[in-house]
Amino acid sequence: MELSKLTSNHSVVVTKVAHPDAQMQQRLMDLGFYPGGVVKLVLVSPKKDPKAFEVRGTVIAIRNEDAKYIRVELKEKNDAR
Amino acid sequence: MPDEFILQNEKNGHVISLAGNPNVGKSTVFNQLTGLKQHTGNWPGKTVGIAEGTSQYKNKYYCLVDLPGTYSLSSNSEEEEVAQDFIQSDLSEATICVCDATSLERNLNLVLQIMQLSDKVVVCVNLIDEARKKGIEINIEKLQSLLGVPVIATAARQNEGLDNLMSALDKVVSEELKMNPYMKKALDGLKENQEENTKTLLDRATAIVNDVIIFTNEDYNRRDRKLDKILTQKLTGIPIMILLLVVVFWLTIQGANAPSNTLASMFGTIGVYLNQFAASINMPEWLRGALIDGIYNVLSTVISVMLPPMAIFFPLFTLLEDFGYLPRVAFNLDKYFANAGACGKQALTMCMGFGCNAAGVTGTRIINSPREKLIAIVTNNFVPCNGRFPILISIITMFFVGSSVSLGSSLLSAILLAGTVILGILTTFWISQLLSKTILKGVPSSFTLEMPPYRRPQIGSVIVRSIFDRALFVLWRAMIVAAPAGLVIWIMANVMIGDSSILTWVTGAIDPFARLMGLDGTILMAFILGLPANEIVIPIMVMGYLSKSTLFEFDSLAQFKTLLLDNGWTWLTAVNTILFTIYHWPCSTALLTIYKETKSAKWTWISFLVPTIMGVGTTMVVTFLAHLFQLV
Repeated sequence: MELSKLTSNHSVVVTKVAHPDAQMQQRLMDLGFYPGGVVKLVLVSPKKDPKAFEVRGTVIAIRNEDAKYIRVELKEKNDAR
Repeated sequence: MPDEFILQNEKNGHVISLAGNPNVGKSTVFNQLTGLKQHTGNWPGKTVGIAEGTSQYKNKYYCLVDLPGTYSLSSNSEEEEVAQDFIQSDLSEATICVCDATSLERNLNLVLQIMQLSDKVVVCVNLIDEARKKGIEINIEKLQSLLGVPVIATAARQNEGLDNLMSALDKVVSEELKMNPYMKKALDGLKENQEENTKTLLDRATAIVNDVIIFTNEDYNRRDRKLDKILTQKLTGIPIMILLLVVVFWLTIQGANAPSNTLASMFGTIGVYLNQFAASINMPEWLRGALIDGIYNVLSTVISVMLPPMAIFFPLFTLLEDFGYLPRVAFNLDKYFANAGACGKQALTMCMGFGCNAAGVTGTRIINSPREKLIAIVTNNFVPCNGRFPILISIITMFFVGSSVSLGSSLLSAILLAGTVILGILTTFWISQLLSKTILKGVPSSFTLEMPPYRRPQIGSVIVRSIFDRALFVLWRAMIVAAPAGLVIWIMANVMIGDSSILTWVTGAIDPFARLMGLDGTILMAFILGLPANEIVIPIMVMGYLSKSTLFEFDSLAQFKTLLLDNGWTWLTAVNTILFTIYHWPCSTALLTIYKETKSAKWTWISFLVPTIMGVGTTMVVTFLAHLFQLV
């Protein structure tokens, strides 16, 4: 699933990041949007875009346009940290 | 980026880099250690460019260099390259990496990256007090042994732990303490493959954090999330923003009224004494006129009109800024900026423009895309700065509220002022979009925006800092400009060519054009002479009118209104003056800053022309329509 499509605030695990802009790709990885990283949707702005995610203990907002390049899958329920 | 860094204090001791993620209190650490006063605010990216200062510890001097805050050193943005180059340069002897104790996991990534560049690193876990409050316990000793470099916990705002930090730095610089060689070897071994490196460092940071942190309160950030929900929700987010705007203006208008009047009457009394003194020493009339009617009157008007609102507005604004509200504003408004083809961080630079447009222009360095940075620069002037608020406040109060200031009427003034500001913000969107479609064509680029934890502002220090560092600074700048401007306008009003003064000639010459804009020659003249600082527009206007009707004492809003009405002002003049206040050229300081930031005469001219054309056009249309429908 694309991260931009996420609606519930379950924790999800990033499976793939493929942003066409190399600099943004690296930035996303550095912030913790990297394969294996755990991400949680925490805020949706009034216009539904951007959305803010809790990642590595920080809240980071990104636009849907960028979030669509991040693929995630739902985390096992009993595994929540 | 050139390889050479030029520091002023390079010779004054060991050069130390101060690195860290944005918004971790790096500037606070820097200020505490150096005694300097870099402005800090609770939003990422406040420090743009490199600041340096000296610090002394045990008879040794250190030249601390505050690098721009970065999340990482690998994504090749401008500030990251500056930080990386400096840390690696021969100049930098050691690096202090400042971390936020409340989000150590993210911060450790940068620590590990820095440890790959330099083996002289001290880790400063700052905001330890915030972490304690949130029930986050960090085992500093263990962290130190896992990282293999000294780790010091600090609460820089309380000046806690900074002595230990300097002591650790001292040991690292003198090579008494060295990085764990096995750690160094392991880190060096990763450098080959960048992608692998990124992942390994991130995983390592997570592993370390899981080992050293205990959350005694799992829901430590629940309050922040709740507050975020309210401040950014569809139903409440934008209304609360507008409400806050109104409240801030209301407090400013209501609170500034009495002190403004007191100051004005005080200056009036002093003026009388000055005149008596001038008479007693037989001062020639031309000198008395130039000094008292010219310089003194303009100066005292600037102070009494400017100081009280600034002394209230700046602290209120700084409170919101320190609290961490501004990134939420950026989050709420981002979609509008995206639609306009601009960057959401423009909301932050726009907010800075409320204080001073020059500061807003410098602030655009946080926007990575050059195209979006230019949009933010050209449109920054559409939010009225502190120098323009007094013009707006006094005209709104006089013409649309009634000059008797009660709680209700000042609330109405605040609402109208907020409306004017919102018009300015909407204009920012329109013009940004127009620029994106024409001379700055392009699609919005990617960006990430951190929403920092809310912090309780330190009210005392906010007040002291915002009044002394900002309000008085801005006031001083205005005064420096006001004194000579007062002299110029007095000379213009008193030197005769033929049977009228230069002022009459000039205002007469531009009057027909100004009339098309629904203004008059004196108003337009005041705006033109106000180029160095908008603060002097009102005083010049007053002097311009006074020079025509000499028997006038001016010390209250009611009298001011009479003066304006006597000179033919109508509600339409007031509306057009308000419009022209938000739509006209940036002040000379802002223009110089734009030139410095863009290094381009072309973009400086565009920044001058866009709001000016907008202002001339809008006022002409409004005037035309008003006359067409016979509203005046």
